[in-house]
Amino acid sequence: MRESKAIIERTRRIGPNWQHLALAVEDTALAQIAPGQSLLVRATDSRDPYLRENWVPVGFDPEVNVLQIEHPINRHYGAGDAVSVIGPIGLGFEIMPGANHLLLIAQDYPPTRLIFLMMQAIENGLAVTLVLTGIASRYPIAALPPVVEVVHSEEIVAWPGNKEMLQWAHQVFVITSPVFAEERYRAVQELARDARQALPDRFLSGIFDLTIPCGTGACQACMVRTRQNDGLVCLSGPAFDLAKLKRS
Amino acid sequence: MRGDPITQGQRKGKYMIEITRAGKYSLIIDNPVMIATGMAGFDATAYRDLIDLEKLGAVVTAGISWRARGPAYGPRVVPIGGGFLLHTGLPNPGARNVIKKYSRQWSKSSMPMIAHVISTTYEDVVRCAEALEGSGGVVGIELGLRDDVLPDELTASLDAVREGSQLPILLKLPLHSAVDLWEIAEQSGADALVVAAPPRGTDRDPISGQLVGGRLYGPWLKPQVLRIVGQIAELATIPVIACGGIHTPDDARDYIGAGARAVQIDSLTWVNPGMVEVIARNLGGLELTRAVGALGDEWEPGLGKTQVMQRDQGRSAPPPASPPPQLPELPPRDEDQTAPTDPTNDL
Repeated sequence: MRESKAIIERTRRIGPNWQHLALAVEDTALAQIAPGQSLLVRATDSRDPYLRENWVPVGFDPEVNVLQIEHPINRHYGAGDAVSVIGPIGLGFEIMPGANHLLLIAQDYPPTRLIFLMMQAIENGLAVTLVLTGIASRYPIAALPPVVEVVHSEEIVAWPGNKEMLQWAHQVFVITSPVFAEERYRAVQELARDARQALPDRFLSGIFDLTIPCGTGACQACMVRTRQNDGLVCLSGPAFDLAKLKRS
Repeated sequence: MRGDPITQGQRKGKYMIEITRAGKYSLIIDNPVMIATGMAGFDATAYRDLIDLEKLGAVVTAGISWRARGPAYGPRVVPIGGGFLLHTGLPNPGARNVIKKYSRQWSKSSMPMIAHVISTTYEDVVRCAEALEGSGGVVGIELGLRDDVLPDELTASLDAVREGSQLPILLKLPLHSAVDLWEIAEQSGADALVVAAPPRGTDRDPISGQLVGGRLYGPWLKPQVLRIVGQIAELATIPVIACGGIHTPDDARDYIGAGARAVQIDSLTWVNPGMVEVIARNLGGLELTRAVGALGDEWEPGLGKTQVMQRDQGRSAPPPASPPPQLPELPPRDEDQTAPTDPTNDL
């Protein structure tokens, strides 16, 4: 992991609340970034925000070393702005061998962390279903590839056809607010147990979108309790096998 | 300790700075810049690609207790204006597991490692200190205290470390009681005073809406700590190490000027790790001078294309129409070193 400079080449609004930033990166290690990994970015010399922001890529153009970053429109960025980048942070999502159908669920939370995975899965010929529940159903889907099946629901857990989807999916990634992660991930797990005879390892992964102060594992603020060893989101996350989480 | 802020000598061309009470086990480092506890993990290797660790004086490990501690429940980080609030619960796998995993790295490291011991029960602190000394990898113990520690508890905690170990003890004082406790700490056998542990605060987490209590970090901390460092360093007979809000070389120099023997850098390590090295090089006398317009040294992390353009524009700018009416006079260099300005005059 290194600190490097990157330049915002373009900004593009993709909806009322979201923008895409084309980020040209110098560090060749960032060209290997995988879905699930992110960057810790300091975009300004001022101290607002003080901590580095966690920027999540949703795509990468290897020909020009440009990452597409999805960012809320809470801050203005201009073409040519230079930012300081530390990364990549965390591990890439692991797709199980033989998985052909991915079920991605954003429960009342932006699906940004799932988009890069979705794009890469489609490129590799996998079928992808994206479920957007609660406020996630307001996410702008116009920019998504048409081959993605998108399901909207105001119901956060009990979206229509949830058991059937959990039956035919080969692997499931869920993201929700870190505030409700424990109860909602438990609910999805129970739903999956009802829907399937057995839950293989890594079938159901929960994504923890916690604030990451350091990105190196030093601060231990992003610790997730698991049955074997406690994991850090910045080193072994952001996805954790829900079957291995320790419940409080 | 005023008038002798840094004990300097020459050893292999480096500074020698004695950061603890003089004696058989005194701790000498060659750069007054250290990384504070909790900022670089248990062995700092996570930062080896971000900071040239060889340039630092020492690193203080994350907090270690005899028994394992789990992480805090609920939100652990709350951003606040110009800083943040942190409540991790000081998770660690217990002294034996920490030593098993990291002592080899501590021994291999050319940079001194100081273990931060969390003050718990008397027996556990004794066991923890014994185990750490036995590991052979650490050169000192920094003792962390509760914010509401009583003088008797402070003395007992120091006794516990001393019972378990002969390593030098750096006592990290709570910010708001540092002025009241430092003298007791000095008389009770602390070998150095670290001023101070970050203060505690409470704020609302914008994501969960919950109120969260924890330690506060940010550059605004420096003026508060600088005042207290000045007050304590004026009177203490053991070295004072300053810790709090350092973000620039000038911040660190302010602490040294106020009487601190060394400094510990906290949250800057996370938000701008490259600057930690800049500060260490600056205070270690390693900052290179270069000809006007020359390219920056390869280590200077802030010099990107934008800075080069800005510098080039500055060089081509016309000179001012007339010189300033009167240039300020610099104080004589010798006087500056032998009789430093007393920063506590107006405290």
